Amino acid sequence: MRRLGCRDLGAFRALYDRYGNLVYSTVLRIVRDGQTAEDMVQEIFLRIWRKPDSYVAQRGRFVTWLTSVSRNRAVDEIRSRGRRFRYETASPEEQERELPTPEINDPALRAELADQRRLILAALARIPVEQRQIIELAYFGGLTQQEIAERLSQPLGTVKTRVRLGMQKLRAALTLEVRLEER
Amino acid sequence: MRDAFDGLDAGCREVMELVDAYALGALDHGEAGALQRHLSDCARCREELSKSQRTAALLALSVRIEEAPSGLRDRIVARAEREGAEVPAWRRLIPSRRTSTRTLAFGGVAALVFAVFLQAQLSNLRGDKDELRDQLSVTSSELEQQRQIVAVLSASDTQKVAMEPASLRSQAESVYNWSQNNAAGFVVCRNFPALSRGRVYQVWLVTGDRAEPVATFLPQDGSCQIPMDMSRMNWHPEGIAISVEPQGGSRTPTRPWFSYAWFNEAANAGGGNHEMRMGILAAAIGP
Repeated sequence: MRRLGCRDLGAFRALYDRYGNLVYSTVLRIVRDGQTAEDMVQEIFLRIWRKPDSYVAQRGRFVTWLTSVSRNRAVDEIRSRGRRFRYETASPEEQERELPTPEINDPALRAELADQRRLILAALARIPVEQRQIIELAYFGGLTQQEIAERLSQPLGTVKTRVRLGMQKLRAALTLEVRLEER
Repeated sequence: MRDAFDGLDAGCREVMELVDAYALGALDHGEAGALQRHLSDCARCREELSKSQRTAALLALSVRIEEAPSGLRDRIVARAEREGAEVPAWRRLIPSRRTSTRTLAFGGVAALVFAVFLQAQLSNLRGDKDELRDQLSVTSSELEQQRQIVAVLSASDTQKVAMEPASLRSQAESVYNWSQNNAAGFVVCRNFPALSRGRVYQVWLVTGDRAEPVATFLPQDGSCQIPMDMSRMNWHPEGIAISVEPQGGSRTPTRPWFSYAWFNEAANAGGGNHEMRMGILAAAIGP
């Protein structure tokens, strides 16, 4: 990132090679349209090129920041267009079975992301499906709790409870998965 | 039986029940605004939110990795290369917070000195009084704008965000600076294209589905300085946008935006700051 601040185009190419597919995949999961996803990937990377200091290292790892920025920008896009997320029907177990080799050029990063993805999917599989569904509708669908309640024809109180319980269980499940991994 | 909320006051209990939904972006703006107000004074709830945000951020890493179209990299790099010859415009406008504050503060002081000088000169003149009065009126208005801008830039909590033009081909550049303590902000812009007759640019503060008009303007030589008074605003905007509207402005914005910025794009970012292989996960779940 420091090299980007010096307008180092080689560093920018390397950044794209390392994270381009990850950003594209994150955005595509939300906007569900290849052309829109391409436009947004371009916007996100050019924004980093123009403002490399928008990432502050003290606040966390770059990859987490980048995927969060990508998710938030994609959700803004679907909210502004009034488009809505089609719920991802594949369960975490199914997604894990069809886990492809991530097309990321950096072998170490590829291995790390594949490990993390497997653990996150395993953790998601540990929480009840109705809680998982609500978490995914909020995070990837950009829906508010009220909108989720309407979408699923459930009382708002039920949705709020499931959000809270789901996130608590997700945290606990991630803890468990990491411990199992470390054995 | 004790629960996680034991020992918390009612405000914190209420907020603790909302932080997970906030981290997922699932609160409506009324709830989000109330939560933000509480968070600004409560370190304990901020810490709780931080944990939730780190967990939520991991969800993005659960996506199946797809290969981006092959030509995309070249297009992005070519665009960056075209821009790369120049220092980014927002840096030219506001090179750094410290520098810009000083520069504009000096600019403001210089404007004040100039205005005092001008008024002294005007009092000695015996020419066309109406014309002089007009000039003085314009100068006072500009001076007031300078004063507002200096106040924002001199505040201890000044923040800035570069606004993005909606069109990738656009050369328009704008930066929004604001201070919550001063309940004020301002937009500076350059390279804004001239509009056809009867059209103006209009600034909006926005949330997901609400847009509040702030000001209309016509750039001069493509540039603008738009001070904004937010002392009467009783809600928390999530972003700022500029649209093109008919003369006099509109009550609801015409889409698409001409340019825009979201204040909290990185709000959900988080993660551990260490290098262990499972660093992100470990940071998310805490000790």
